[in-house]
Amino acid sequence: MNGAVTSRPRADAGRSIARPAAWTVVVGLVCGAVVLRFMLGASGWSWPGAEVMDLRVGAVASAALAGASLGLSGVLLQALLRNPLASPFVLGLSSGAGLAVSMAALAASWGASWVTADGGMAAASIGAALALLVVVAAGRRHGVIDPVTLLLAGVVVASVAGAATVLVQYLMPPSSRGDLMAWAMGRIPELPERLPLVMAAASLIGVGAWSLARARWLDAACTADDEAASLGVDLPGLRWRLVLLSGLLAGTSVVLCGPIAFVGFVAPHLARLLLGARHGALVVVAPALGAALLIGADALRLAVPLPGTGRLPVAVVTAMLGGPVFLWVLRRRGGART
Amino acid sequence: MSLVIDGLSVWHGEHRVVNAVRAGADGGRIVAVIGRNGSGKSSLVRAIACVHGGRWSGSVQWKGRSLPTMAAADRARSVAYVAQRPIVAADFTAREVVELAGSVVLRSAEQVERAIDALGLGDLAGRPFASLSGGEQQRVVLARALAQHDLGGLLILDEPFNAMDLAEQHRVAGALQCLAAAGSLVLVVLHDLALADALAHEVWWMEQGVLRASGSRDDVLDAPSLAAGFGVAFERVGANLRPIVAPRCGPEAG
Repeated sequence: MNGAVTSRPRADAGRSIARPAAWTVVVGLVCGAVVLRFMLGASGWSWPGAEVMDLRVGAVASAALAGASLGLSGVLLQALLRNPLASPFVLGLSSGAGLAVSMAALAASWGASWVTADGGMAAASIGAALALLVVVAAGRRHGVIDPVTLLLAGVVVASVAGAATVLVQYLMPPSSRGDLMAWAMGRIPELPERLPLVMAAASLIGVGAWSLARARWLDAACTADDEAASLGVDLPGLRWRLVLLSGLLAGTSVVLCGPIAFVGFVAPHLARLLLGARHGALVVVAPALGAALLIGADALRLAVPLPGTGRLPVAVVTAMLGGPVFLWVLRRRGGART
Repeated sequence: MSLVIDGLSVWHGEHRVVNAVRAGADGGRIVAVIGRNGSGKSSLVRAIACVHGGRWSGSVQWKGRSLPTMAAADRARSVAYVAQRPIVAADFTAREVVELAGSVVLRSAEQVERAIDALGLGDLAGRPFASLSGGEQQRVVLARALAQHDLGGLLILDEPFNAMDLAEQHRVAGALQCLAAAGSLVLVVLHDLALADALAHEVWWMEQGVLRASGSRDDVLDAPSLAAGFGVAFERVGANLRPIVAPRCGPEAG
């Protein structure tokens, strides 16, 4: 059999580039984005001096953790829903967190003394968790999570929470809207608070290790329910874990940087293009590319000053880059069906 | 008997689609499960494979052990199941689909290669699964099932030949016969009764959720009984059973 094994066609024959080159590209993208962001600041291109180094490190760390969390969350959700168009936003978590933070800010503007910075973070966490609970409750059929129903429930929750957020912002005094709207459009903090940073790092490491250990189960989850069961995979149990863990990752990224669109969608696709669809590689590469994307988007935001008003919100940059990719994937899938 | 089914009933919602089936088979045999559409064939084999998600009752024993209560990894080693329509919602190559056999149980590269060779997939192994024809995809998932279960185990196939051309049917039928000769029990749902007649040692005939007949191929595939059950005339040409599905117009019809 050895001869047959050595002479067989390569498993990655259908990939666009060879495996070592793909890993080189991934490492190059991450390093390039980090260097770019370190060199870019409000004063233009330069390697940062000691006085601003902390700000650059804070921004890179925040973007890296949020981007990696979104990338991994996207991989898990796409496996859960067997749909490459899925992303963390599909569960409505960001919208839920956004609504909760908006409501906390509204309470503060009405004189509620309990709303502090920590209170805002707690509100975001509670909002994400509530959105997750509603989506999971609505996405169950006969006691098990149904991917299609879950997807539809996520879309509905996201829409309702988004509309409610606009209403809350409308009710706020104009003087209080600025900060909230800045957060709602994505904001990479240069001086992040310690707690959200530690939470994001801990959840990313924990979920990343679990995903790597369960990579073969995630591969099997891409087959029909009955075939996955025949392969020995506990699909109902796996789906519960995927919902909770992808929700945890999306929630921590929202708390850290606000709602940021498309990173969780684009990173898994880039990873697949480079290294194929096996989850053993995806759960490592997609977070790395998610980090590179968000760090790069933050750098791009700084490189393109807006006349008069400052800089682009980072979520606008990711949406403008990710939207066309989404349409490309949608069209490609449509073409494949026909 | 290696496989013993006792009082197996299966429900879809409130509707009982398999009703108290009792049957059994030994290793080293190919058992064809036949019956008209909606007779409960697929529900029966899905319940035996323990992949039916809904309500069921009864017992399924494999080599003296209860399949439904067996640990998932043990069951995956003993029983492999191939669905009627394979779904692979990822851009896997054909080889990567076969390698799914090792999702839970450890499977060596050699076992994967052997399965690929057995079904003549060497030239297709590096191609994207989605780019293959229906028959080729069926062969790939069949290779996955071959690599997954231990020889001497139970292989359950739900209408595997549907999308295959004659050459593919010939190759797959040969692979199944080799597998049975090596001691595995092959339980295969078939619509093509001529194929069942050529391939199977035994036949289970399902009708409206109950086992209408079971036994050796010659006993069950009796032309008059089949004609009564399927509403189509059958004839034997030499040793071969043939359904008369396209009757010629007689002079009186013109």
